[in-house]
Amino acid sequence: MKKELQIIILILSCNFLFAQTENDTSIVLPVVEISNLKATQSPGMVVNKVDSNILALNEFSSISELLSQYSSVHIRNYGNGMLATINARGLGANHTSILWNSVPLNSPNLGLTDLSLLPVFIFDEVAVITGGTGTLYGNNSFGTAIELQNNSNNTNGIKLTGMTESYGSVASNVKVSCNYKKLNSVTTFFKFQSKNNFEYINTALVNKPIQRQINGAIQQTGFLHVLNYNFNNKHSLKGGIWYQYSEREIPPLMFMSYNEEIQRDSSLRAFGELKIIFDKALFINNLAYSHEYIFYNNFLNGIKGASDVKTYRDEITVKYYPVKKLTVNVSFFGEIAIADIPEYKNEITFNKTGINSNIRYSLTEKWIIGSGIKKEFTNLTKAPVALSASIDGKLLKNILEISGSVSKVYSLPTLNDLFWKPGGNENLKPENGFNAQLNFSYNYFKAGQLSLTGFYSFVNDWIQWIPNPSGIYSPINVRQVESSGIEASLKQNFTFQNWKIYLSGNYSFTNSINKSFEGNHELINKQIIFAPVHLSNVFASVFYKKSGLYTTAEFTGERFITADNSVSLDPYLLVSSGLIFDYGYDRFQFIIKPEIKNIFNEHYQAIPWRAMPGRSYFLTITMNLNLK
Amino acid sequence: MKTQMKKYLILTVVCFTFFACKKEKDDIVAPSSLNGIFIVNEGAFGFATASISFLSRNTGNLIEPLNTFPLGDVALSMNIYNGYGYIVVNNSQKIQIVSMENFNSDNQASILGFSSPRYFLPLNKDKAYVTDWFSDAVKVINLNSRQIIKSIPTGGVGPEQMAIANNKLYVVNVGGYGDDSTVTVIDTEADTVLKTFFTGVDPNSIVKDKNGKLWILCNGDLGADWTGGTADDIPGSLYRINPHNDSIEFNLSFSQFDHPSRLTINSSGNILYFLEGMSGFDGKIFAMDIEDNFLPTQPVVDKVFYGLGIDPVTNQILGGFSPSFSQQGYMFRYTNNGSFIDSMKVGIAPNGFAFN
Repeated sequence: MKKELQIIILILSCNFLFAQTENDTSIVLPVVEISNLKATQSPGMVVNKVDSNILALNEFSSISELLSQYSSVHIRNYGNGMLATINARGLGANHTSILWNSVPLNSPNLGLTDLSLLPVFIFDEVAVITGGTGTLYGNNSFGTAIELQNNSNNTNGIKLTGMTESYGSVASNVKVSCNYKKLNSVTTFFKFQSKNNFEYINTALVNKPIQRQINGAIQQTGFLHVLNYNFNNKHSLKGGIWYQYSEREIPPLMFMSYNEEIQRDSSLRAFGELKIIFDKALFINNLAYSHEYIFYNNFLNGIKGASDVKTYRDEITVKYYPVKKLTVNVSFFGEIAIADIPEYKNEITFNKTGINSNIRYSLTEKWIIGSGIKKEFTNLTKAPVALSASIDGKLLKNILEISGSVSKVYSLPTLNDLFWKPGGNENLKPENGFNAQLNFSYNYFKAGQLSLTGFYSFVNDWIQWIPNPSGIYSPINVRQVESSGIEASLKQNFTFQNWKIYLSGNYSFTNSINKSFEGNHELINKQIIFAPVHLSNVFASVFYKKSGLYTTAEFTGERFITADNSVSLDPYLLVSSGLIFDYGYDRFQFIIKPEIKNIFNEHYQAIPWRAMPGRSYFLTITMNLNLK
Repeated sequence: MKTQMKKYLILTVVCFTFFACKKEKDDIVAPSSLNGIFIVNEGAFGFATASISFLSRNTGNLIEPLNTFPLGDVALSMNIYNGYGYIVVNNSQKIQIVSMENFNSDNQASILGFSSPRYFLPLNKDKAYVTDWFSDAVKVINLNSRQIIKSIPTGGVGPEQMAIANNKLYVVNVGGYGDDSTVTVIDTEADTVLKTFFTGVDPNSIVKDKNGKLWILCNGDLGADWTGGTADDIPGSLYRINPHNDSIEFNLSFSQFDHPSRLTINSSGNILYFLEGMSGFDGKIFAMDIEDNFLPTQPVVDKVFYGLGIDPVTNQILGGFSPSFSQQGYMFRYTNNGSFIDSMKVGIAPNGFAFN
């Protein structure tokens, strides 16, 4: 028994990492620079980066699918390829900031981002940040932020990937990387179309027949170009332009016999970032532009609409290191959003300026404290001050890391909340509240990490659209919400000779309830609708040399669909699995990846009465040529 | 061997005991006689949480929900006719047919082919009419084949409630998402439009009194600002029509900020009831004798309701109270002079009633 135990301990102690094994990873990754996440500016942040190998395995997924399978956040998915919004820790979609290379993506008119329109393929880094995010990310951040990054790429190469799928999906991605002296660029093209005509069991009908989804076709196309120019080893210039267009037919709900709705989304986003490093300071200027256009038409009832929003933004950040232990971060920003939406009656210009400051101080080699303050000024609403205090520490010879934060946060009413006719309410107050978080991360055997986070958030003046005395739906600051819970995650690598095993898993328990609700005491202490109490996902992969097998399992617990919790949606478990065959040689990779999603053909509803696909089969082929 | 057999016997008995103790599945059993009040619970739009609650006259018990099958999205109204219940499920684009013998029978039927059905009105055992908003038409239904056999464009927008008098079908056009002021008159034999006449803005409900006269209640309008109680409101109105010559005998105008709805009448056909409020879809309950030529100034029930019905057996006033579209509502019962009797929890957004 002693001998067996010793062998088990020996295996668990193996600490060879993927990167240390020369050129035998199944997906060859370009050399990347150190992450530019905003989260690194402040202690007290828990950063969960999606492993780059997982990004490579999911290049035809959207960010919504990726986060749903590999993080602790809940994604509210309105159908396959349809609107998908993030609901972290039982809060609203407008309570999570989503940034692309530090540029906010949350739309000023809706306050949220449709994650189904963000393809994984075009990003190099995807990270979920929790903690005192209010002073770093400002409006729209009640304790969670998502950062999407494009990093510089020092390789020359071309990557072609094609995918086909059993319910009429076809997609192709092309990525071209060029590196010449101080300049490197990455250009990505992507195209996706799907009939989305999967079969499902229609439980809305008495006989529960098997039907095929109609009016659900999707097409999406776009490109992203990112340029990096390094003046020298200190100063750099980075810029990018991202355009995409999508057209989606909106399928009928399961109890409807037909539907004739479409939505078209087009977006053009661009950013430029100048970094200048001095002896004791870093200067960053971030310019950004976005133009988002949405068109909706319901041919059945004749309702149609369009929204056109342009945003211009400039942010100047100065990081100052007066002494070795101290970092002072000060940022100034200005933003103008121009919304041309017929339901607003007039074109609306939304001006925002602000200043935020974060301080990091190393008490000792192992303990860092921080604090932050942010103040925004707008022409439409008075924004409160955001504050934060945080601490990071290491114990037990750096194996145990502790991170804690408390922060005062807010979320401004959106332009729709203020100006939509009928119903818009220009007298709305910002939502405000605070959150606290404590995280323990245990790094063991150098190849594994176990993380446990406890969180608490309180939101005052939560905005909700409810009928006013005229019977028209109108937003008012109507309730207080308390959200608390725990999040656990595990990551473990095993490497033994030519074998590599990787395990990761996430679990979250979230109790998100109304603490008060104006004029409706029956809703007090009821779970927020669509917020699952239990959420979990697991990923496992086994590779021999360059080929292997992987499996994911995603569990979503019961969700209430009425505010009094009288009706709920059943929990569901989705299991998927795939194989990777890598026939590459030297600088050329040829990879075939067959995959089955929803292996057990689970028929489930993420949102009431929106059909979701059962078992489906995918085949992906990748050709990757690296020219050194 | 004997010991072993004994062990198996005990095990078997234990197993059977456990099976016998297994709780019977808690199915809702339809009463042998569905004699009582059916509460139509609209549910939340897009969530398919519509349901029917049932209050039995025999037992006094409430069954919520009565339907064990998913009813669909937005149940707008229910009629009971010739042994069947016809439930208009608006956003499911269907009429759900249920048997009054076995409400949850596996052999149910639906009438399909609508775009936005609103109300159902039978003419006789063979034919019925259904108003359909998005097609601005009245659909003619063969009740034997349970299919749409004809579509009659009304010439108006948003056909809503109907009434039959003198072999004519009267359809009020409420305007859909906009406005209208017309009533369409249809010949019930030829199923063709005879004429259209004007009433107040947004006629939403119609009833026939004991004298055969038709009463039409008009909502008025909130105005371009979509806000009730402001200067651009158009007040509601009440019209009495003589169906012999389709003339307007008289009309009464409400105060500017009053937007009434859900006109109904008692079983004797002599007392009108309606909701009066600022929103146009809910309000306090008012009563008016058909012999009066003035509008009531005080409510008979001083509480805001979303649904309204009058029990034809007891003449009790039934109010559907909806705190929101995301939680269960209540049915309140009052005597015919407005004294509170009781209230009970029903489904989400009770908007109307049917009686068997």
